Amino acid sequence: MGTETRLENLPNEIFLEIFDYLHALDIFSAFGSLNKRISSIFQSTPLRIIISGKHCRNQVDFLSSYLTFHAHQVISININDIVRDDTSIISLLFSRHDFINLQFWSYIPKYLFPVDLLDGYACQEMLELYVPF
Amino acid sequence: MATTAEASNTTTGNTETATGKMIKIQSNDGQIFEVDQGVVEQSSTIKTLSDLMDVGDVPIPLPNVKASILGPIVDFCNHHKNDQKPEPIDEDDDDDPNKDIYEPKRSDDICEWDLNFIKQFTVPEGTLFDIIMAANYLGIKTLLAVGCKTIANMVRGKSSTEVREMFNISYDPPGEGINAPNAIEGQAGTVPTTQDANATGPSPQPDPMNQ
Repeated sequence: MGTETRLENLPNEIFLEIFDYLHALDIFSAFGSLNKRISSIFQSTPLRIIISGKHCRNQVDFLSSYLTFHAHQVISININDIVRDDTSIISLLFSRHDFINLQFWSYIPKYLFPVDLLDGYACQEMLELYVPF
Repeated sequence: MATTAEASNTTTGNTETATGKMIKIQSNDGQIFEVDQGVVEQSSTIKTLSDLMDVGDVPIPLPNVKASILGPIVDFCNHHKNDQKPEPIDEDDDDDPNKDIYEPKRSDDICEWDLNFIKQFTVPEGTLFDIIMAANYLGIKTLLAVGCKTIANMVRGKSSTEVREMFNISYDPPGEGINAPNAIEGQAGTVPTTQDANATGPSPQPDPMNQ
């Protein structure tokens, strides 16, 4: 009794493998404040941010509390679906953090701006912004 | 004393079958399993050992895996030995449509047989982690992926408190690690990792997924 293998017995490489299946919000939410060892493991994983659906402001605020120390790990940001007050959300994220290793970001407000209502420039600007670094 | 488990449909002692040479592998508690090349090919560790060692009829020892885990692993590999192998991917090929490093890997694509297979391993008994560690040791990528996807699916959308409870994760000693006084600023957005009612630290953050 008490000798069963536990999650904490897994080597770091397997934690990193598990993190590959999760985006940043899930990693921070689930593993963010467990203990020193687990926190140190996700310091070396690339982070993919996905902000979607409701409560995006809360998601950004929660992410920001961690990104202060992990922004350099972020390689992609996807902002999807209905993002209200989108301009402030995006500027909030980028004004707070330096994403020095960001390689990809996209912003797709699928429902707010029907394609046929926008001209070519607006589509490029509003529907999807793709920045290959 | 070693015992032999039949892990194939062949007759015991016959080391050549229609599927090729049979290999014997031995768990750390002495049980011997006889497996064919279809199984060997899925484990980089067993394949390397069988290629390097002229084992003959001597079983390959696998000191990190007990029989109760090795048996199901042989079953898993037997089930998947006729699966179509994924085409090798050129790592420099940026046009590969299946390669999107900017998205988390998918974890919702576990097939039904694998879902039922992994259900026999549990967190309280520790066998879910045993099978993952064994898959990692044996270099069976498909099984390792099933295990890691299962863990990822279990924690997705959960708070640290829920994950700690689910997996019985230990706290740092009071005053150390995340609880260290100078670690509070470095761990913004975290909750104190001590159960001491008098402990100080940042207030728990609201769950961003459930507001």
